[in-house]
Amino acid sequence: MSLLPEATYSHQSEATPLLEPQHQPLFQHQFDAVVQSATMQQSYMMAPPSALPSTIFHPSHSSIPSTSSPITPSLLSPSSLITSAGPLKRRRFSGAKIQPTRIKKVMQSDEDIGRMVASVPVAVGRAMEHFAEKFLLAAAQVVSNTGARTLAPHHLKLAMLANPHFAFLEPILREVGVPSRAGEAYQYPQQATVSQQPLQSVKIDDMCGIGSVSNPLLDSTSIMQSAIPSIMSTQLNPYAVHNPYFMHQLRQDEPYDSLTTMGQMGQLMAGVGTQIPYQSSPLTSPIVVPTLTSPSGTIPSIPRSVRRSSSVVSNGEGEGGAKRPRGRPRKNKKEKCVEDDLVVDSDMADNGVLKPPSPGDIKTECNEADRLLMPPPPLLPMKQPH
Amino acid sequence: MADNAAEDEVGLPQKGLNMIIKDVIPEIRIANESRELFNLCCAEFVRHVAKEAQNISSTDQRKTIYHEHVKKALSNLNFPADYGEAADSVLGECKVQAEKKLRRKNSRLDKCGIPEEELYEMQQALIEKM
Repeated sequence: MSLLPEATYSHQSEATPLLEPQHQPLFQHQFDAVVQSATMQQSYMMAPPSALPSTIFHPSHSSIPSTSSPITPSLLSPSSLITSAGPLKRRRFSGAKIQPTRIKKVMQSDEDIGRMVASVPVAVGRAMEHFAEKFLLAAAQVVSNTGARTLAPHHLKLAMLANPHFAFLEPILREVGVPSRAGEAYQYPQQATVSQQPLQSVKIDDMCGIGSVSNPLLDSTSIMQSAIPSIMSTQLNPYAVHNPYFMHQLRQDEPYDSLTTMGQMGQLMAGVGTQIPYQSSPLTSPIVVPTLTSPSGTIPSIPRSVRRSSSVVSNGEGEGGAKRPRGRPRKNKKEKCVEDDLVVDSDMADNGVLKPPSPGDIKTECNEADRLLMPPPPLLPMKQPH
Repeated sequence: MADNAAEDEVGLPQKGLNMIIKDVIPEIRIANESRELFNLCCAEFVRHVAKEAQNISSTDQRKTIYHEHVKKALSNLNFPADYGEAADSVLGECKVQAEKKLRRKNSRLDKCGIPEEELYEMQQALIEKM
């Protein structure tokens, strides 16, 4: 008998969540809102809403529908649904194929462009889509006119030429050659040179390895040789696929500067080429070493990358030519000053063996060796261009 | 590889452009090279318009680019009128979005659907109950 009231009581206490499972969160929400609007003192009193026992809520909750308007539950439910669906990421402007944030990024890649109203990237994106449609349709017209089956880059160029308001694309499409009739003949000559050049440079590398003189400048010339076709191909036809072996060669020789300083190298190529007759086969030291060891004469005229690559070659010989990791090397050795390079070079030229560079004491030796190897007079005119 | 060497500018997502291409010319095959080139062209269009719009806004003695500047830029650059119309077509959507955003910002109270006085009364009632 004593168990009965307990049982009924427990039944009642269990009944509250069972009967109103869906009202409970709604009320919680209301309660949150109330807390939000409360003053500091009141909110202090009400502060731990979750800690309050639900039995206290319950009577007040039952009083709420009676006091407030009867539509509150129907108004409440959608809002609570929205809050429950909050973490779902909503895509704004789902109609746009390209996100306005991206458009804005592209717009602001130009330094001059500052702030803009939020609708501007959207509008520009829409206009861009419109442009894309028109441009593609024009290109498709060209394709169907020429009877081709695939839309190739030169079709885009022809489409650009056909419509005056596409003229702004000219700098992008300038390099795209339009084949007259004979297919895509414009690619072939350059590819031929590309495939020839690495062979040559390999040859020279081998000779460097075999000969007692391992001369960094020769490596650099070979790099330049291999750089020539890449310059040509990037200028004339940026979309041609490079010979993978050729790229590998470049990367091995000079890890990351090759692409950025290629233009520089191209400009300076002619001068260096005339100074060093690298294609003459007997790669003996007397020809090359003087130009090498002349301090601050020729070396500053060689671009930075070549200098670094020469140091890389001279230092990396102990590693057995292991392939350097791709990308930008994080811990680069300190940029050697010109004299240090010269020291190593001349040392190698003398001994044929690489010494660890210890600049302080070798420098004087180097200067002496320089004086022995090289008469002073040609130094003076060579300093002038620097 | 060649693209990276040529420029490190921001491009557009190729995926979206592919969708556009597929929508516009579904029956024509298009080389990957042309896709990339087309991406460059679209990015160039955006930059082109942006530059002109910036010029116009600076002659307008503004520091912010407004929608009118974009429209004027499109017409200045000799694009046909439909480009401007296309740009206009998103304005309504933008306004709706802005409104929504504004409402979302200060809608903590509105969301619960109970007027503020009633909330206050409820609060007082709750306090008394405690």
